[in-house]
Amino acid sequence: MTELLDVRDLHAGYDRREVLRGVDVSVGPAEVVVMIGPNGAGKSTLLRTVFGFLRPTRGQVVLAGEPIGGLEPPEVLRRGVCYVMQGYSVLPNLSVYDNLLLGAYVRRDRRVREDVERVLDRFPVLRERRRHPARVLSGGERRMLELARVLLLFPKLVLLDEPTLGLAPSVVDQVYGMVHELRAQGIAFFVVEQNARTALRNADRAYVLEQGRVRFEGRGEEILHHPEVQRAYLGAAASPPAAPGAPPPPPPPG
Amino acid sequence: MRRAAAWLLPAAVVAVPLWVRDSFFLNAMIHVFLFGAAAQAWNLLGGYAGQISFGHAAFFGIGAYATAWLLSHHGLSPWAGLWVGAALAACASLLVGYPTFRLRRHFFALATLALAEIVRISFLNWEVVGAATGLYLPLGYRNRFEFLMWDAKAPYYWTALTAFALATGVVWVVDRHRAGRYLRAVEQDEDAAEMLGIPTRRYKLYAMGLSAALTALCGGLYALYVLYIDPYNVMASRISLLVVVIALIGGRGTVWGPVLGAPFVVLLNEYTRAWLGGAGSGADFILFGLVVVLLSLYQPRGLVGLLAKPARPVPVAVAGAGAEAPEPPPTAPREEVVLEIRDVRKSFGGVQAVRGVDLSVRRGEILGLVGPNGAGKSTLFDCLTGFVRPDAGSARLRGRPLLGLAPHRVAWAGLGRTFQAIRVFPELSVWDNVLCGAEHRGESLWEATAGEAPRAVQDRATALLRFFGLWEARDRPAGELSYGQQKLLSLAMVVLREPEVVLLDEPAAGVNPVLVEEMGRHLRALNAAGLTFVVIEHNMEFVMRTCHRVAFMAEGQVVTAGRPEEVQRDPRVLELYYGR
Repeated sequence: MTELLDVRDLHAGYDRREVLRGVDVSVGPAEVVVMIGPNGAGKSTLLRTVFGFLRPTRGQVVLAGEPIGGLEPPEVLRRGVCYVMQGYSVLPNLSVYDNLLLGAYVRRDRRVREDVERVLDRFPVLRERRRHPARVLSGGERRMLELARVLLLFPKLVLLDEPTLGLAPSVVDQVYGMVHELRAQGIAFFVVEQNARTALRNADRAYVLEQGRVRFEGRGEEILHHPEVQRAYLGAAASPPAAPGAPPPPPPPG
Repeated sequence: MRRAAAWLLPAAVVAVPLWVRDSFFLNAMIHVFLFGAAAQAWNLLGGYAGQISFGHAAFFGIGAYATAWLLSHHGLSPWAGLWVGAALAACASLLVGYPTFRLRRHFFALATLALAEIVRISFLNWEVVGAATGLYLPLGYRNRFEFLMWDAKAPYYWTALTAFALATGVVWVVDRHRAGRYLRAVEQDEDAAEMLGIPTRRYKLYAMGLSAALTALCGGLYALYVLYIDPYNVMASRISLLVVVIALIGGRGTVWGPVLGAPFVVLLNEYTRAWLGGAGSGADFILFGLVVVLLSLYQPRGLVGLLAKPARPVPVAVAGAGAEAPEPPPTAPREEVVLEIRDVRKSFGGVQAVRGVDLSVRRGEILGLVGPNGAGKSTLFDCLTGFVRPDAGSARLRGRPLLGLAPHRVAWAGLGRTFQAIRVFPELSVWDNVLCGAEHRGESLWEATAGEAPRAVQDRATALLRFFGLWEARDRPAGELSYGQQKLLSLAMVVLREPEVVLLDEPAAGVNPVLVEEMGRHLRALNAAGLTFVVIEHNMEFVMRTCHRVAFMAEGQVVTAGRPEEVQRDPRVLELYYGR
C-alpha cells in the first residue's frame, strides 16, 4: 500500500439524498491532487466525508493503511488530515495570534507557542498583524492564516476546498506557491476547485467528478487538454477572446 | 374522502358542546382555543418575522384589563372594550418595537421580557385597576349577548373557538399573500431583504402591532371567561412561555403549527396536572417538560413536521448543463451618466478602506470593477447601498443623492445589488425568492397583506426563471439548489424590478467554468435588454469578455479606467494585480 489516502466505492449524502455514488480516489504521499466538476457534483461532500463530518453509507476511507471512515473530525485531525473549508474558517473576532493557537487545539504537547512563532516567521504578513482581529484581514491574508494554522498540526494530508475563491490573480499564485512549497516538505494536498484551469496546471493528478461519480482521471496536464473535459467542464473559452463584438469604447470618465 | 374530512372535522369541533357535558374537558378546550389564538398571534411575529418575544403576557394582560375595567367601571360592552384593549396593546408593542428593532434579535427578546415585567409590576401597584386585589367582572351582565358573559360553558367554547379561527384566518391571509413572503425573508436574511427594497423595520413593526392586538383580544375574552383578573393570572410570565411553547411545538412559521400545538400542549398540561397534580408538586411539569424536550429533539419542525409528507429525494442538479443560449447582440453604452460617484471615502478605525473614489457609470454599460483583495471594492458597494455610512463624498443616481439612505431606500431609488456570498432565502421557494425582488416602492401594507403580486410582475418572474433555467425548480426551497443555481437565482431576484443600475459582487466566483460562460451570456443578454451593471470580479476571462469598460481599484482608489484590454496591459495593473 503506497497510497496515503485511499477512498474506495464511497457512498454518502444528506438525509434521503445520496450525493456520492461510489467514488474511488487516491492521494499519494506529497502529491497534489485536484478535483474539478460542476456545482453540485459532490466535491465538497467528498471532502466532508473524508474528514468525518458525514458518515459514509457504504465504501471505505483508508489513511496510510488504516480505515478512518466514520471517525469523528477531531480523531481524523489527530491522524494527520487537515481540512480548510470552503468560505472562511477563521474566527473573525479573535486575533490572528489566537486563531493560530486555536488551530493547535488538538495538540497535547507544550511546544505550541514555539511553533506558532516559527509559523509566523514564514508568514511575515501575519506576524505584522498578529494582534489584529482576523476580520480586518483581506481575503488573501485569511487564506494565508488558514494555511498557517494547518501547519501547526504537521499534517500528512491537507484537504482544501476552493482555496482561491474570491482571490485576485497574484494571490492565487501565492496560494499555489505555498502549496508547492509545502509539498516539497512532504505534505500532500487534495484540492477541490472551480478555478479549474489554474488548479489543473498546479496538479500532479486530477479527477473530474460528476453526479457523485468520477468521470475522468489522469495527470493534471492530461485532464487540462482532454478534449471532452474541455468541452464539458472547462467551457469553450480556451483562449481569452475579445469583448463581444468589440463595442465602441465610451469616452474616458470625468 | 379528504374533502369530506376537511368539512367534518371542523363541524365536529363546533358541535362538541352539544353532546359533551364534561365541564373539565370544556374548560380545557376553552383554554386550548384562547391560548391557541394567542400562540397564533405570537406566530406572526416570532414565527414569520423571526422576532422572538418572551413578553406576550403584557399584551394578553393589557387586553384583559382594558376589557374588564371598561366593563366594570363604565359598563362598556366588551364588543368595544376588546378593541380598545387591542389598540392599547398595539401601541405598547410599537413603543417597544420601534427602538429595539434597530438591534439584532436577542436584544428584542430581552426588551419584551423587560416590558412584560414592567407592565405586570405597574398593574400590581396601580390602584385605579385594583392593584394587587385585581378586578371582578360584574356578574349582573351575564347571559346577555352584548356582554359576552354566560353561566354555561358552551357559549364561551364558541366565542373562544371563533377567536382561534379568526387568528388562524389572519395568519392564513398573511401567509398566502406577499406580506408572508416578506416576513419570512426578513426572518432569514434581513440585509438581503433590505437590499431588495423590502422595508424590513416597517414589516417587523406591522407584525408586532398585529400580533399584540390579536393577543389582547384573547386576553379580553379570557377575562370575560374567568370573571376575575389580577396581575398573577393574566400577566404572569407562564402565559408568555405557554404561547411560545405552543407555537414551537406545533411548528412556528406555519399556519397549522399553532392549530396542532394548542390542543397538544394545553390538553397535556391540563390533564397531567389533573392526574399528577396530587402526586406531588411539579410532577405534572416534569412529564410535560419531558414530552416537550423529546419532541423538539426528534422533530425540530414541530408537530407539523410529523404530519407533513416526507421530502421527496431531490435529484442531483447539474447547473450549467442547460441549453446553449444564443450569444446576444453586442451593445453600446450611451453617453448619459446614470450613476455618478464623487470622492467617496471610508475608514474603519485606522484603516482607510476607500480613499476618494470617483466613478461615472453610463447607461447601458457593463462596467468591470477589478483590483486586489482589500482594494475597497466591496466596501464601495456597501457605501453606495447604505450598509456602511461613508465619511465623505457623494453618489447620485440620475441626479438623486444616494448616500445616507437606508438600503431599502437605495433599492427604491433604483439601485440593485447582489452579495459576495450568496444571499438567497434558503427556506423560501425559488418562486417566492424571485417575487421578493418585486418593486416595493409605494407598495402599501394592505396590498401586501391582501393581494398577490400584480399579473405583470408574475409574468416577468416567470420569464426570468425560464431565462435562467430555474422554472422547473420553482417550487423547491432555494436552499436545495446547487451553488451555481443559487447564484443565478440571486441575479434573477435583483433584476426582477429592472433597477437603473445593478451592482454585482463576484457573480462568477465559486462557479464551474461552463456556468461562468452561461452567466456571462445571461449578463450580456440582460444588458442588451437595457440593464446597466457594475461587476466586481476576479475572473479576468469573464471580465474581458463581458465588460465594456473596466475600472481598476487598488488601496481604496480608482487607479485607472478604460477599455478592458487597455486596463489589462497597464503596467500598474500588471504589478498590483498580477504581481508581475
